[in-house]
Amino acid sequence: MKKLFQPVIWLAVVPFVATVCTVGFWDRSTPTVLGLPFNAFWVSLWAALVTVFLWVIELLRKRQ
Amino acid sequence: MMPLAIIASIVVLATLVGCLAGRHRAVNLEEWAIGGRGFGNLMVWFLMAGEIFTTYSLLGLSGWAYTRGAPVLYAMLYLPLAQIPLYFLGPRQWELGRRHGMVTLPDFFQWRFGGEWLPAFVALVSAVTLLVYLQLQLVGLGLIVEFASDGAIPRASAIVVASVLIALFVFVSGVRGAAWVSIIKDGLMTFAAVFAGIAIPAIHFGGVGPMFARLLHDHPQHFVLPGSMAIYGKRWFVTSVLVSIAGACTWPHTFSSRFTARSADVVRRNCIAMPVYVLCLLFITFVGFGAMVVVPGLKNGDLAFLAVVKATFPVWFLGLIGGAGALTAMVPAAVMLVTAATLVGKNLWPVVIGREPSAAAAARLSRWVVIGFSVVGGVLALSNSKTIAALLLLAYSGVAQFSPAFILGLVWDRATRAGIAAGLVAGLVIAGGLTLKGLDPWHGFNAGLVGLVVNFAVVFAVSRARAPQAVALGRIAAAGTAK
Repeated sequence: MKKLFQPVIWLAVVPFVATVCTVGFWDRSTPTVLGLPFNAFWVSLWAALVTVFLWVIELLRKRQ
Repeated sequence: MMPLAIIASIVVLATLVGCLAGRHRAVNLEEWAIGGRGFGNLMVWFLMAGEIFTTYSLLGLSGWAYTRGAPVLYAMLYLPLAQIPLYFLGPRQWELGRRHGMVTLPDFFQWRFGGEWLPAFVALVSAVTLLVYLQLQLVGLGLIVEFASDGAIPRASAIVVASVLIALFVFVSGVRGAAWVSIIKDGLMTFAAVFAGIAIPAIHFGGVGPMFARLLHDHPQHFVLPGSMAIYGKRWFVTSVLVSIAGACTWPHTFSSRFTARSADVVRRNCIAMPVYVLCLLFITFVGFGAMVVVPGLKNGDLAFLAVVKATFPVWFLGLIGGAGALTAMVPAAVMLVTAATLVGKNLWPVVIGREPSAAAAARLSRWVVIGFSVVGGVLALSNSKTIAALLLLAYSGVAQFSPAFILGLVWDRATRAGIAAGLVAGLVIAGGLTLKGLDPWHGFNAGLVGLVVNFAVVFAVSRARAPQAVALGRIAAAGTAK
């Protein structure tokens, strides 16, 4: 239980670290990625990645 | 004439579907307000998507992209992130709701913290907040329909007709009607938003890439924080994302909507799928950014989306936007109406008459309150007063103040009623006071978050100072094992 609990916490925390905790690093307009200013790309990327992270958490929960 | 016909057919068709949705259903509050806890993955998805994608998402986001720039990204960030706490807390809430027959947010307060006046206070604040938010939807609807019909349907008529139609299908079908209308609304709106978001950059700039290349060259400051208005800096961005996540957990209508799910797994799957949906908001911001070049100098940024669509597409597409835009207001308005009426029938009325009414009486009363509230919402939307605008500012930071009760109520069995009540009042006074005095952002921080920090601190301090409520101990542990 305890062991399984750990990666879940990390998976839940990483999206926050990558976005709200590090605004200063990604809030820039260049380089553009897929035509988007970098910050718009970064936020969109993480919107999609939250689904991936939650899906992995769900898989871990089901295996438990 | 054509846009008018398209708008009218979309709205009438949706209302019919909404009314038919409630046929052959039992007449009780649980069925009417939360679909008898029987919605599967798709229905919950459409209901939740319907609540998230409001007229604010359409007009407000494109308007923010147009006038403010980079700060608009906060909306695309908080919605996905909010699904993370909700993935863990939502199923617990759902399980408790099933076991203890909860329908509303005050029901949760009642179960966890007890007392008479705390749940009633929460019900009152929630009902007023929902009413104010409801009128915002109607104001947006009036704006969209008037513009899309090129004045053929004046704002006032649009608001009056829409209020009547919403009241009609909500009265008949409750939340089930809202979910079914949302299927039509979501199909149309997602198509329209993505199509406009791709076509407008393509037609005027030759693509999304060239559009941003040009805009970045002409307005480099617009695309990094604080954007084109100095007050929305990094502090504001982070604190607004956090306070919006707190609010996403405790908006009273969304809280009730989580109870519509058939199982805890449906709640989880909805959290997993929702972040991807947010990507369609990105296309709406493209429209707003494109409008900076195509229709520069608009006084009201909220008109950016409609103005650029009008300047680009044939009238039938404008009609489609008008009809879909009307539904975008009607779906969340319907859910808010159901919830506000349930709050009155189930949580406020018993306090007023001093006894528990029969289940049938509460259900009957709630349905009639719908009529009253839609009239009030319509009148407020027509008057469009300054007081309401101020109340609306309060609404956003206000609902977030319920979040300590929700979060700590589920995970910390030492949280007491006195602590929660004191924190709630402190949070509301600080967030409200700062906002009404025009001090939001306060030293760069979102005023709602300032209130929320004090709120949490007071809850901890007061709860620690007193003995835990015996009633709560053990219950939370039991809820944690929810399957």
